[in-house]
Amino acid sequence: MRALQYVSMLFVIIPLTALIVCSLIKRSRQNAAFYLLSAFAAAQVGLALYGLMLFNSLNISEYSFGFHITQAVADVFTLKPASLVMLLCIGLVSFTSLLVAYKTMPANKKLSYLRLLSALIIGMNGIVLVNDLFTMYLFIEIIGISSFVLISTTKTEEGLESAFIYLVMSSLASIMLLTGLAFIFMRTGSLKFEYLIAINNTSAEVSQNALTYLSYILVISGLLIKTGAVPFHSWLPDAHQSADTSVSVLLSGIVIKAAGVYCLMRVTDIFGNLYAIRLSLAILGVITIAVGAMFALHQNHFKRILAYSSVSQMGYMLLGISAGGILGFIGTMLHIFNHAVFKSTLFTNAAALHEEVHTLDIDKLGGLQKQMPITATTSLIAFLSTAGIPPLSGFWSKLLIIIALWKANFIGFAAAALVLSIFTAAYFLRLQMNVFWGQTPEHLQSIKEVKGTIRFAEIMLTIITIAVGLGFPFILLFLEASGII
Amino acid sequence: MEVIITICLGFMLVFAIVAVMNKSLLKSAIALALVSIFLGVILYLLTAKWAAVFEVSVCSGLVTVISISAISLTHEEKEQLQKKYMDKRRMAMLPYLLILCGFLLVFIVLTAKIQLPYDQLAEPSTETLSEALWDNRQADVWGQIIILLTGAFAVVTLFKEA
Amino acid sequence: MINALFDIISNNMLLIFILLPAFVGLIMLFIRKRFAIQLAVLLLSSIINLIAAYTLFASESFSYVIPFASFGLDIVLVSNELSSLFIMLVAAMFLFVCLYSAFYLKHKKQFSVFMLYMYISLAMLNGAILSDSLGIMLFFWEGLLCTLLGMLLINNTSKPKAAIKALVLSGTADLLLMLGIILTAYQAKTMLINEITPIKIQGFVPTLGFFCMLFGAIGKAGSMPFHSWIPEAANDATTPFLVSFPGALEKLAGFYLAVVVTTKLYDLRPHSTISNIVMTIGVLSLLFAVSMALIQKDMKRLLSYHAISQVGYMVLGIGSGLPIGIAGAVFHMLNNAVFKSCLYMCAGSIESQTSTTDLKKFSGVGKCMPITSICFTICGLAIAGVPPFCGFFSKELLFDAALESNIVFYIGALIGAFMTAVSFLKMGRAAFFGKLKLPEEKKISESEAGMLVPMIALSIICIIFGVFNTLPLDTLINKGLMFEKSFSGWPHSILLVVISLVVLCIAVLDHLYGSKKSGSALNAADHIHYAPVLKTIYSIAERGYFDLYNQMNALFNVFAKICVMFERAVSFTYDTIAVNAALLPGKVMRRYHNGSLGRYLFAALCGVVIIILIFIAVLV
Repeated sequence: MRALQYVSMLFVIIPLTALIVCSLIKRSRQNAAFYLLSAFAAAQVGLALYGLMLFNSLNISEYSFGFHITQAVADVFTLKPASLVMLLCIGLVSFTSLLVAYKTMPANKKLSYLRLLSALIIGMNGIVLVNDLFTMYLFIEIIGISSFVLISTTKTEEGLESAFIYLVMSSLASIMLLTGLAFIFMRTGSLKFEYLIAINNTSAEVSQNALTYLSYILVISGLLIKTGAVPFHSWLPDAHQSADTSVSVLLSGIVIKAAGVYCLMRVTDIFGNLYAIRLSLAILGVITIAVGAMFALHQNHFKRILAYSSVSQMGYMLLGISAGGILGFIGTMLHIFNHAVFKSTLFTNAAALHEEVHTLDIDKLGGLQKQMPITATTSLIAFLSTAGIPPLSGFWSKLLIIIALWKANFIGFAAAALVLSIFTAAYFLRLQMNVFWGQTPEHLQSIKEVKGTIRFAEIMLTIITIAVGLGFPFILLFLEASGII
Repeated sequence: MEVIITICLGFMLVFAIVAVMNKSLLKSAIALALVSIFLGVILYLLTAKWAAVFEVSVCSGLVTVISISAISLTHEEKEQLQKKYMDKRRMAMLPYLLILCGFLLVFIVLTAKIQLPYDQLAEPSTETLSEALWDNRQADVWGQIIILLTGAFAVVTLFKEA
Repeated sequence: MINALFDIISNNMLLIFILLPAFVGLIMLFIRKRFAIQLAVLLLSSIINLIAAYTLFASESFSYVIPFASFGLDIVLVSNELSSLFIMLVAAMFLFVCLYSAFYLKHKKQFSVFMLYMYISLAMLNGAILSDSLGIMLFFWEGLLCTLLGMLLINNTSKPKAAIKALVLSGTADLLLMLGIILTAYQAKTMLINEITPIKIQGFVPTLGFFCMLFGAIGKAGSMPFHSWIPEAANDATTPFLVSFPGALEKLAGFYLAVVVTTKLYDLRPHSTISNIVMTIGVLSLLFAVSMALIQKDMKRLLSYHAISQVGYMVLGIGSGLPIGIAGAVFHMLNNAVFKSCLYMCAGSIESQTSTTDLKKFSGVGKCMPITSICFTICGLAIAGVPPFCGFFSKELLFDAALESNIVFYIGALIGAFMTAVSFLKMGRAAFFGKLKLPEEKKISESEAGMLVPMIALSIICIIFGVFNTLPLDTLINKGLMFEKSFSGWPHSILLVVISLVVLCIAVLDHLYGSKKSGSALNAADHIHYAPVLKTIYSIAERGYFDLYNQMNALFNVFAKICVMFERAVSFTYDTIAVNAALLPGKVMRRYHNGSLGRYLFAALCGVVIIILIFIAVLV
């Protein structure tokens, strides 16, 4: 129990320490801050795994804690297995982002990047740990501000423009979220999760009211803007393309998921698994998969294709949430993890290409398999994982989501999701073919493979993809044995 | 009571439109301050004393001071601004139209006696400030501190010269 | 100690079938220098695999369960008659194929990587055949996609066209299979094959499920419409790949699943509409493919098209739903694995000596390579259906089944047999008999002993399975399929035999006529090629209009273009209104465009409206 208490407090304390250190450190010592923050991110991964093992041995399913100054304080943070998985993803993606930023961030921006990254990590850790709707909103705002500035760190014209678009759409999301929260508060009198779950189950007068439904719609729309579902997705491609690659890793890998998908999952639970909510999420999910994939087919910029691919994969997660039940839950969490891993791999490859070739326009690239074999192979494995081909991890999450959908009687959606996987394979094949396969043009004959932290990040993430894919049965057995499922 | 609240809402709407659409930045900042003052009045009437205090002090006070000092430090070019907006004559009536709609809304709400969506006023709470903040909403306090720090970093990052 | 080890092995036997080949494959990746060691490891592992498979076949059924989670994804491996039969067949073919590939790729650098992929494919195949749970089978089945892609990309990344086609077509077949599995599991409410009683094919969902699963299964084996990657691969890939995958292994896997689908999962009634539809597809694919084969001038491409057409025969047999048809299809599949791999091996042996298989560039190597030509002749006669080779007996069973269903199918099958015979006569005479002509002047001799041994062994098997056809039919296939009636011995109906022999004679006469007319054995089929209507059909087909891959490409280009066009229309309309409705930017942002932002916000509000509409629709 003590161990669990320390572990859970560390999840809050570590990023806070990082923030304080980064704000006080001098410009000349910024590399030290880099190493420190990388160590913290890696520590978060380790702590999350340790936390899962502690949960297993103690056989509990959730744990509340808080920082007590006086005695009469309720526990404000709650640690759940889903939170631990998200914390694992957050740590992993932050670590990758740091590895990439070491090479790609200009030296005079590194300190700002580190500070904002620590703020972002606090925001994301906060979202998965709190048990109150308003606090969740507050941390979503923290994420919004930090990511807005992170996108515009390098102060290019398109960076600032896409950051502004993101800011405005984010404000729209906040308006809708706050209004929805206000209506819920008006109806029920409290915003704590347990209170809302209890009231939804007991009081029909509260839960079946037109105003309550309106508040559900508003909250869900606000969160969908943050997720990047269609038709709320318009900020996503610009933001991913114009930001520095390390920031794109963060955005795609964890921000749209922590602020978007995870919150949607909690909120759907709290709102009592209404059929209307599930149906809207399912319909929007299928539309998202289709539209994201179709736009991705026409893009010519490496990162923009990846951004639309993220939009498309968000659709799968929406389908997983709409399926509900234990299978949908596991499928969505696993897809969050898988998507974090393979999208980070792909963005790391983009960083490698940018470092070595200095262009990301796929019309100008070609035939780089011989010159950059590691980048090409990791890209191939990541794309096979996205398309859902065994024995890589993407297969399991897709399979679980589709099984969950047919168990929930959403057969048409399951079939649509399956058929649309062809598009996923299509745009990635186009990417792989245009960038890595085919003949090498003259001006690219002398390109070398990227070295250093970026190569390490690529290889590490690919190993994780293959390992989780092959070892997924054991992971599931472990989770079941510990009573988490 | 409801009449006063409705009129305050109407004024809020009017001044918000003024803040967004006015040609002069200085006047927009002052309109923003007025918006928040009216909001503070509404909050006080709904017996949320602390919220009213925070609202007025932060938005009318702090934000207005910062905005006005920033505006006066940047020496904006008035003539260029005027020229740009004179070109868009066809939308010149829009702000006045919106303000008129605002007054109309207030009038309708008052005469039709539309029930504003709040049930009854809560009793004024008996907790001290520290209890309300730290015991009940501890996580929010953490969040607020982080937001302040993040905001500071954001401003520094965005506006620092290379 | 030994006892304990033995116990562990026999308890986890089924799992070892999957893990051991994967492990051996990894080992093969690291042994690079000594060919003798590689050969020893290879032979040892293949023989162990074969012996183990035989013990499975000879013993009772049993199953092996690793509980996974309660979602029907338990890893259930079962060894019953059907699966143990197929494991044994796969193991036997693997032995021959690996031996040949080892000697073909002897000192080339892709040897280790190729062997890695071969062994992992074996592990996946074993897993797919042994698994009882449909979800786990899907895991292993789709895993074959990775190795397929890998093998086609070895040393070939500058011309990835065949690899991409293979990935897309196989992937689509697998997607159909996944859809079929979901529909089947939804109807049967369980994922375990053993627990499913055959579902009647009536109504929309069962029919869709049946067709999806069947097409997914045979699509992997290379049936139409998923066939077009095989001739492409014939151009780009190495011959050992052709010998193993389209030749033997994929057919075995695909037809295992097809037999399972038609006998255990669904209740396919003979003479029903569904049966007729499946048989029609079989006949069409066999006719189409063999017509394409007729005009090829490259040996490997010709053999690939033949492979596709033989799959058509098997589909014909399975589609009939009669025991004689299914037994005939399985026997034909077995024969096909044997003689098709041997034919590819002959082509490979010619390639290793003359470095080409293009019939325009060489001919008449029979005298220099006697053993190869004898093996080729035996297998060519077998595939054409000449008694007493094995192909004759399996074809007779299929003809019997086709005739019982409908005379149209029988006539189609006969025409196919005619064209097969003609094309093999042409190829055989051109390649092996007649004047010797080589691409470059050098002395060629017979290939290495190591490559010849599997060829000779397979040819002998061809003869044995023909003459002593009780061995495959009764002991193997009947036991596997659990049929009682014996189909061995001479076919029952003498009339059918006579008709087949007459067709073969017509084929020989036609060949002689054709070769006299066009002056050489190679062009003996040209009079069919350039016949009036067929000429146009051939030119359309060669340009790829019948190619599903090209059609799919065109189709979703159209979809994507429509999407982008629509988006542009909406944005144009709202650009004018949106500019004025947007928020006035602050001083920093004044120079940036804000027109598009209005469009984005409008889209977001549309999304909210959509959700409101859904809520209203559900709750009112």
